[in-house]
Amino acid sequence: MRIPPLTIYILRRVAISLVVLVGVSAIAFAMSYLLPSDPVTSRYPDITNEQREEMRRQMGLDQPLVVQYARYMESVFRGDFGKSFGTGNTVGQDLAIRIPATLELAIFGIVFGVLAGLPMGILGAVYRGSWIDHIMRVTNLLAQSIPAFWLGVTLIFWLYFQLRVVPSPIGRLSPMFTAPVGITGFYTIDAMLAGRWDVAWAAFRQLLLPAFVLGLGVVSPIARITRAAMSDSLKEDYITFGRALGLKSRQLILGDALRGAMIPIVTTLGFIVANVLAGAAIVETVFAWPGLGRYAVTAITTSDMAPVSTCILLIASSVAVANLLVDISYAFIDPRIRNEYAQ
Amino acid sequence: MNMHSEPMNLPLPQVQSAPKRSLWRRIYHGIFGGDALGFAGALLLAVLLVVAVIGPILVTHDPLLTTPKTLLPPSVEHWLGTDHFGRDVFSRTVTSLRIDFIVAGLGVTGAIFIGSFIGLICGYLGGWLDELVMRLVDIVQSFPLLLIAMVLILVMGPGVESIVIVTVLINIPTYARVIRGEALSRKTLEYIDAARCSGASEASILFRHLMPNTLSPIIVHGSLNLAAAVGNVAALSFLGVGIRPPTPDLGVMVAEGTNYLIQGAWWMSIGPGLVLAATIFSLNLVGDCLESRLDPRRAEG
Repeated sequence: MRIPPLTIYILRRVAISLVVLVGVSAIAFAMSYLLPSDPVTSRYPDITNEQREEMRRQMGLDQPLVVQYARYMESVFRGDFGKSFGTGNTVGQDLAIRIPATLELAIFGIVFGVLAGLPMGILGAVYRGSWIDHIMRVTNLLAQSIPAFWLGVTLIFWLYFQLRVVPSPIGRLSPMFTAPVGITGFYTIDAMLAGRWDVAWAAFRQLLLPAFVLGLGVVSPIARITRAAMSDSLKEDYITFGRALGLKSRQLILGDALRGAMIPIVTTLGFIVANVLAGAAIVETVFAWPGLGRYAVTAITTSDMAPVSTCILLIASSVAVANLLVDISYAFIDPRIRNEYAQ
Repeated sequence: MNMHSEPMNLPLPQVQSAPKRSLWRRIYHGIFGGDALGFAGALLLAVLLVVAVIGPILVTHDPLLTTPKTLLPPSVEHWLGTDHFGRDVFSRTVTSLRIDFIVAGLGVTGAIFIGSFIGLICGYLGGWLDELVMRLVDIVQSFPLLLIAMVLILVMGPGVESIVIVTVLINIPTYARVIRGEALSRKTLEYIDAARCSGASEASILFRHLMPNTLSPIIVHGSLNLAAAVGNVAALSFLGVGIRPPTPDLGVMVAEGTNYLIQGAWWMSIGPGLVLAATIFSLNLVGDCLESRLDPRRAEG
């Protein structure tokens, strides 16, 4: 039986990702193990040494590391991530509230970053070497250079404390509204589904500033890679040929050249997911956003083992999955990659 | 078509009528390829470096001295005002810049040495070792490095040394990957064969022939990396796990300033933030300029 080349390609990529995921989980486990806190002592500060030994045995902490890792992985596959002694809930419960908060913020941020970065990159490539190119270059280097935490704090000061044009920068929704109950966990969408347009608008206004600061980190990588890839594809023969045929510039640039430049642009998406999730730790701390990043930062600074390893595992896995999706999407964008596996 | 080899239509800081090419013009055209932006970035970086180096002479007050004159706005006596402990914000900013440069610089330098060595060996030898190390690099690079850095710092105990070590660790993969690629693409070139034919040892090929040729990507990635490292050190300090008060650091100063913004003390965080942004911006400008000059993939055409 002949296996289609696309399947071989995808299987190979999935296999590589699985290897990465195993390594990721081992490091996530090691991280929580390294943290300077003893789970027994931190939970029961005043117990005798014998009691402590007994507790350690009950919790399986006297077993060899490999056994502990195996048991950890087993409970992860059962969906049991342990308990946070910071919040008193299971990590699963905590994450159920925090993941949608971070996702909503990250999606708005990435959408803003791509909408700003893509045109900047295209303009830079089309007007390469001219003053437009230089303005785009300075703008995106500036976007990359301004530290997110300082920008966040400064924007809050001017736009909230001084000018009062944005709502109070605390959390996802001002306390005047009750959070919409819904399926998606995205306040904007849930509120719209419930027909509460005022709540949706309030949640959207709350999102604007943090999404802007988070998305600014995406502008530069997108603009850079778009400019480089577009410059290359604009030099291709098919563009010259199209010009000779008298095709419209807009069609050539936005249709053909951009399509030719898609592979490098899509490649950066994996990198961008990693960037945004790391940036979320900072932005969520500044804007008191109840998401994954702030949860992880709090857990790390309080040596809360279970949430730390789960957050690291979760973020690293999403980056690995993003990279896998990027690799698979190559095969759909570029038939040459698919055909490499045909032999 | 290389944009930087063309005459620029931006105002250039050069003397058209000078009969002999002055030193400045030679630097401007030779190193920066007539790229006014990269040159401006280098000037800004030079100013910041000088300020950091002669910082101890430049400060107007003891950066650690607490006085009863708390939260004063900028004045002739205190150029950037005073903070909540009555310390001079300008003197603290200058000292912070110095500390942040040292910490990030040491971290990136360490990463360059270790990472390039790993990359060189992997790219040259290839085989299972290469495969193994590159998978490890994949794994490390899919981690949220800021969070990993936080965990490692807490494990090692907070302090300046921990931040340097963590900066080294999280930047090693970048250089390992880049230099591996360089070594891989160059090891089949003729000059390497020529060296081997004339009896050069493997070690000599690696370190005398391959390594010098990987210098330009190291410089490019070094300056971009240093920009990121300065930002990361400040971000870690802002989150409370980096450089600890009372040692001045730009991130710590912004974090402290945040608590007094509501009282209107904007001067506590605006100066340090601007200096931080200027430092990262100048490093990025220089790195970006050198990248388009030296990157072999972009150089042709």
